[in-house]
Amino acid sequence: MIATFAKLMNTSPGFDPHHVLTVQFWLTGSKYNSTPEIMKFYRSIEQPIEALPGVTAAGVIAAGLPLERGGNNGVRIAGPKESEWISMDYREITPGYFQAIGTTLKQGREFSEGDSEISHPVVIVNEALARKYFHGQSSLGKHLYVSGVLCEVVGVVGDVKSYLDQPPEPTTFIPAAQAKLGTSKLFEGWFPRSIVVRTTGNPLILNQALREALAAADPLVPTGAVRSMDQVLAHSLALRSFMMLLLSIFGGLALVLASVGIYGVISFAVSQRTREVGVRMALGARPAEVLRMILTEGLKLVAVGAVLGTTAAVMLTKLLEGMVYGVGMRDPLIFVLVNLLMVTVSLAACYLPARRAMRVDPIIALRYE
Amino acid sequence: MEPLIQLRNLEKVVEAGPNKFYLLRRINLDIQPGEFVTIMGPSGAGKSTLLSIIGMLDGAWTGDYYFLSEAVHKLNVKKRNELHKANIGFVFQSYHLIDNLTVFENLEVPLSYKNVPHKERVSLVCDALDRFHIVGKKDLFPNQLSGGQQQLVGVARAVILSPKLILADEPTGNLHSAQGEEIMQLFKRLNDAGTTIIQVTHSERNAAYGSRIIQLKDGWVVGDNATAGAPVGAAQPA
Repeated sequence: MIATFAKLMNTSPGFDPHHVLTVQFWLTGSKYNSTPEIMKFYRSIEQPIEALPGVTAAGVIAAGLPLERGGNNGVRIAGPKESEWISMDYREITPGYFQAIGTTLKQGREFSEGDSEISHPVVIVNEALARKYFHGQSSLGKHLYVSGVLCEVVGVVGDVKSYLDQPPEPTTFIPAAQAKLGTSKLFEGWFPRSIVVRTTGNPLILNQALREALAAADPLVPTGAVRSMDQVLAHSLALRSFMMLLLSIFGGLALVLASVGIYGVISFAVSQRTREVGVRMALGARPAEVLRMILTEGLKLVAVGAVLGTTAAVMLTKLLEGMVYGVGMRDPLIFVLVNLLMVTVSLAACYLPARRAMRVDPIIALRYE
Repeated sequence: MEPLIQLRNLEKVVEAGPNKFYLLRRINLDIQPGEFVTIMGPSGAGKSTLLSIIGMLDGAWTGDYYFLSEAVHKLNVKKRNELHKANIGFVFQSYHLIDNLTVFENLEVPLSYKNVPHKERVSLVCDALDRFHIVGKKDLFPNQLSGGQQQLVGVARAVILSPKLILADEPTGNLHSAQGEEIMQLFKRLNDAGTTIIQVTHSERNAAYGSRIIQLKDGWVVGDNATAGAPVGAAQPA
């Protein structure tokens, strides 16, 4: 689990989460009953925010932020052999979104103000979709039915993850100006809209300015938490991190119990052998030889434990399969490291009673029955 | 002849709170190679303590102790251990065989601490088994042997490295008379072959196997027939 967490910490989410601020909002008022009205509101917040000092880009996303749960929609691949409806991740975005979130454009173009309600419907797909459904051919110019509308693929962007420990899902991005109002409203019930702002410095200092810009555009629009994308990333790992903490505590406790157990067993064994130690010393054993003898015997127990433990761990790996990411269930390095840790702890547990045995006074030991 | 053991003003004290108890007082002894010495005295006289000091198991005492002219009182623990390993064999009243080792393995123990090569070790153990007529017992564990047989193994273990000195602490104390007799005969034969023996015993009969009797009382040497029965030591208890 620790290896999984370390791996997740180093996993790229597919965008640059640093210096990015987001704020959630809901367009639930009756004022926004058409896509042009929604677009007007978007522009009324994007423009003043882009004008703030330190802001390099701003955009809006609906139906879910990266690293959080988001919407999915039925999509058909158009063409001579039209596909069945396929469920894919679905997002509505404004033209500045990709730049604000820091996703790389791989092919084609980003959305522009020209992609409007009256223009030709377009869609941008991610690489996961292109790989899976266009099999390495250029995706540009291909057509997809998204929300029942035939859209032309005009761009391919890098993959952005919804969950760090899962592969990216095929995703379609629709220009917010071309989104169907019904679809947009439907998703808003589950996933708030977010404005995403890229800054040059600490994004959190723009917290107040962002709230003021939203309030200036429409004081009746409810807003949610203002968070940096670093916080969103940390939040997406919170459960893992908590589980890791719990497992570390329980693992540590198990290690302490195992050490105390080994110490107890070896201590008892040594106390049972006090007379033998005295006899061996009377027969010429040096203290170092007594120490070696006790440690060797302790290590034999540890070796048996390590073999049994490793075998059990290999057999039980199936149970943990769903809980790890990026770590082979039978990763030899992990098995070696865990065994090394156990052997080191066990050696320490054996050492104290062994040292006591080494200091046995043969005279007293020989009288010991 | 150079004495095997020389003790000069040897004393052993234990402290219990503010009190000091003398276990041995001003012991002056010379023991020659080839002697068969018996240490006698009532319980608490210091017999076993003296034996432990001579056997170099006990290092907490004062005075001078020379073993083959080597000043034991000046040796560090490691060197004392080496001297002990090279020259002294122990026989205990309770045999002190190691319970989870066979007779063969018990005989091997002192050899293993002298880094004797495996082949030589096996050959020495086989010789000892043969010499003490216990070949048939080599794979048995101590609890499968009678007391006399266990003590026989104990003696075999003590002499396997051909020590110059055997120290025996009441070697027949746990044996019936016939077995005791057998062990004492064995000591006599070893002594006749040149091994110096010091035994602690309460038995006059066992003492008769030896050539010299040292009497201890309250930590003092009160008699030594090597000095014509006269009290030994400059100072004597009143």
